[in-house]
Amino acid sequence: MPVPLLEIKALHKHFGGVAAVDGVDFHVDAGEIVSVIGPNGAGKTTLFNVVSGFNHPDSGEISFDGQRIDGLKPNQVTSVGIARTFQAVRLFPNMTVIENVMVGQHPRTRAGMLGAVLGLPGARREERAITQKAREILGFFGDRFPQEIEDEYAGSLSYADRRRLEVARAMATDPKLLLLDEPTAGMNPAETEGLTKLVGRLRDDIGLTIIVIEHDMRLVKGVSDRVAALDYGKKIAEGTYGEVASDQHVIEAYLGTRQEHAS
Amino acid sequence: MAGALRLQGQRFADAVTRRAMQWGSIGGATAVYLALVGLIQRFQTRDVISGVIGLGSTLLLIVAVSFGYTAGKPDPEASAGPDSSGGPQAGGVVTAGAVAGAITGAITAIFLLFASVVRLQSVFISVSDALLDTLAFGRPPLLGAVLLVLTGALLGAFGASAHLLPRRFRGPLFGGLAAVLVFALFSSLLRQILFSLYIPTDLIYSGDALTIAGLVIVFALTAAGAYLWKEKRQVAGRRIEALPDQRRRLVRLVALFLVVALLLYLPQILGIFLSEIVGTIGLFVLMGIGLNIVVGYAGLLDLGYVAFFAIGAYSTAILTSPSAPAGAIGMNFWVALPLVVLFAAFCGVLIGAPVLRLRGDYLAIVTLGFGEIIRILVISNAFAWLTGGAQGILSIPDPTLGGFVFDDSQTIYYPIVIACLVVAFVSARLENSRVGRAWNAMREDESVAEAMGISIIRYKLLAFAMGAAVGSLGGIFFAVKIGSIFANSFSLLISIQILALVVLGGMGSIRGVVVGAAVLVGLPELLREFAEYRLLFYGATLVAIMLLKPQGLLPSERRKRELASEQEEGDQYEERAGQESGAPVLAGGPKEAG
Repeated sequence: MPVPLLEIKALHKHFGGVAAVDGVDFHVDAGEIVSVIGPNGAGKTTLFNVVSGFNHPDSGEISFDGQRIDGLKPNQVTSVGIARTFQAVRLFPNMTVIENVMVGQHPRTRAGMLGAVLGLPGARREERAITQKAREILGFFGDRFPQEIEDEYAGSLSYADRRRLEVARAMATDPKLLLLDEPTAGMNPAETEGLTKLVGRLRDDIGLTIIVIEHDMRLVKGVSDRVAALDYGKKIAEGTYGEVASDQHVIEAYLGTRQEHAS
Repeated sequence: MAGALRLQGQRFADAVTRRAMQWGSIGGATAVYLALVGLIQRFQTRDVISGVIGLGSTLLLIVAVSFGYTAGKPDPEASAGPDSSGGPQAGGVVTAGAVAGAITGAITAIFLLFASVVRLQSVFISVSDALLDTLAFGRPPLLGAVLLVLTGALLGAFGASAHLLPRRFRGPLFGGLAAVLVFALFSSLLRQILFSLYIPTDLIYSGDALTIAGLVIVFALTAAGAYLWKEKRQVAGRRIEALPDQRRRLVRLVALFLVVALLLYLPQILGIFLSEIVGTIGLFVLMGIGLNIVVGYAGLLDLGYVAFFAIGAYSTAILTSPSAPAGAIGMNFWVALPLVVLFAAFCGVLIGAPVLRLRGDYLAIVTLGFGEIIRILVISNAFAWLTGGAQGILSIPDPTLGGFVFDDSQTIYYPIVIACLVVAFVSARLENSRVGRAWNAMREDESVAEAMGISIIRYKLLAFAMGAAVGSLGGIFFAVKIGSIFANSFSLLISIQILALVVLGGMGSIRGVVVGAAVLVGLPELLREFAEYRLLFYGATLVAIMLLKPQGLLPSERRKRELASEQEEGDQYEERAGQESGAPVLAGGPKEAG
């Protein structure tokens, strides 16, 4: 059995008296798409924050690619190969579309001040490569980011395009594992469907492993190899979408409220 | 329907009158204020047009015209009103201007009548008979008062009617008028400059004032120049754009050559006094570009930037001065220069390290403290063995280069300008590099920047080091330019001034820093003639520019956008607030500028 790409053991994170993540064991194999579901306040985003280094765990272990990453700073986690998006879109609104994607390549490039100031050949070559790669990544989104739009300011994009650009920026860090925090929040059904396809393509075409926090069950059902449900910081169920959806704990904690108005 | 229209028209007229009265009252208050503080009479001693009009009267004239212009500004709400044909509105605009001007005149007239009956001089020493005579156009007070109202109305109407001019004429008109004022105000300096360019000045100047021929010539030349520039600039730009690559490079080379030639020849044109001022401006440009890296690029608000100015100046003095308190090292200036820059960068890291976790206001307060600490350390007895304490360090030698001594303002100018060019180049290169992008990302959102793999610690320290290194250059050249340094040259005021010039010029823009330094450092030097009112002008200029152009004089594209989006949010809020209270919201000046 291969070592999982991400392995979380007995993870605890408390904020004051609140146990946001309360002893979670969790793993993701390379090439998987795993959804994390759960009602609001279940600890999903805290889980992401702890994995990506924004919060440090109180106890427990996180290993990525066979290497301990708990206690690393966010920029170090990104360098190791974990990228994330944010629940509320957080682009650099006063930088252009392409600049946002170029910034994403920061951990994979090296040019320093001297190279930039003196215009050394290495730095110039790298700068060209950064631009080139940024265009390729934007091209992955089909006709959403044509070349005319790349010098627009990111803040002027439509909401859905801002979400897409955030994914593009995360892709630019060249990750192995991508954490998507509610990527369809605020999107209409057509856009959600497009995003579901995109998540599939991210794995199939680029080979990313993906964890996605999501409330939209269409997306969860459409993309997930596996689903984990959290409630009050504890993992209450894990398995295929069918298994989790029919799990009694989950229905009580989360899906139960949904079924009332779904019928 | 017709009734509703009339009602709307009525409301429109009401709004216009109210605006006119508001601006007119402010104009009147301004005029009376200027008279009370003695500015009018002090200025009246200088003629603008020889034997025709004094500077004081001109000031009053400007007040009436500019408030007429403001009052007549077509209301954005009104343009969507009942008559979009523009016909009746044109009348409204001129009327509004006239009303505002008349009110300005009337308030001044009331002041004149009051002061001619009640003696105010025991309280306001500036209210002399001479002042009243000036205000009354040299006539009896009653006649003068009537004349004030009439001329006020005329001038206000003139100011407002500028709105009716097509845009392409408006710029040249105001440009021409401004040029006349500049030529009159700085007559002695300009005469000297023109003289050194072998241009005879007897036709346009008579003594310190312009002649009538001078007025016409200066106005016509500037207005025509501004008009042609506006008309032809785009055409020329397009034509250059259309040129093949090689030719375009040639055009650029020629332009660069011209600029360099001008910079080289400048001290000869300017003479000693102006070269001195340009040199001082250069020092502030250096520090402005440095602070711009810290504040404009990386978004770290540093209020103690003077620390690096002091470090640069003192290190240079200690290393090169034969009378340094700790014993003469007597190092050659050009050897000391890179050492001091490196040392300053190191100090930047040292000061930056403890404040890494702080953001925004907190950072500002702590850096403010650091700036003061450096100044107090320098002046303290504890460090007197090194810095000379209150005695300072004297006889800092002039830099020499192969037998050439940079010993006066016209020669020290060259190394300062070269340093400015190098620093501007470095700063521009950095802005559009991987490093610049990392700084920018950090400024926009620190935690997201961290999630993009950017080490916040590293890039903050880099920004502090870079800013410190560049800022120290200002101190280095300050030390050798002045020749002796004292602790009180490094006050908090310098930090504020540098920050002000960065903000005034437009945050994040290098051209902005140059313009900001020219306005904030150059203007007060040029206005030495009116020394007692210097700070008044300084403050008024600052307030006016920030109100009219909140994004700065020459903002970077990015900054322009940021402010525009903030403004939009503010406007939305304002509109909502207006709707809630049911009252129309005053359309302020800055709205249009944003």
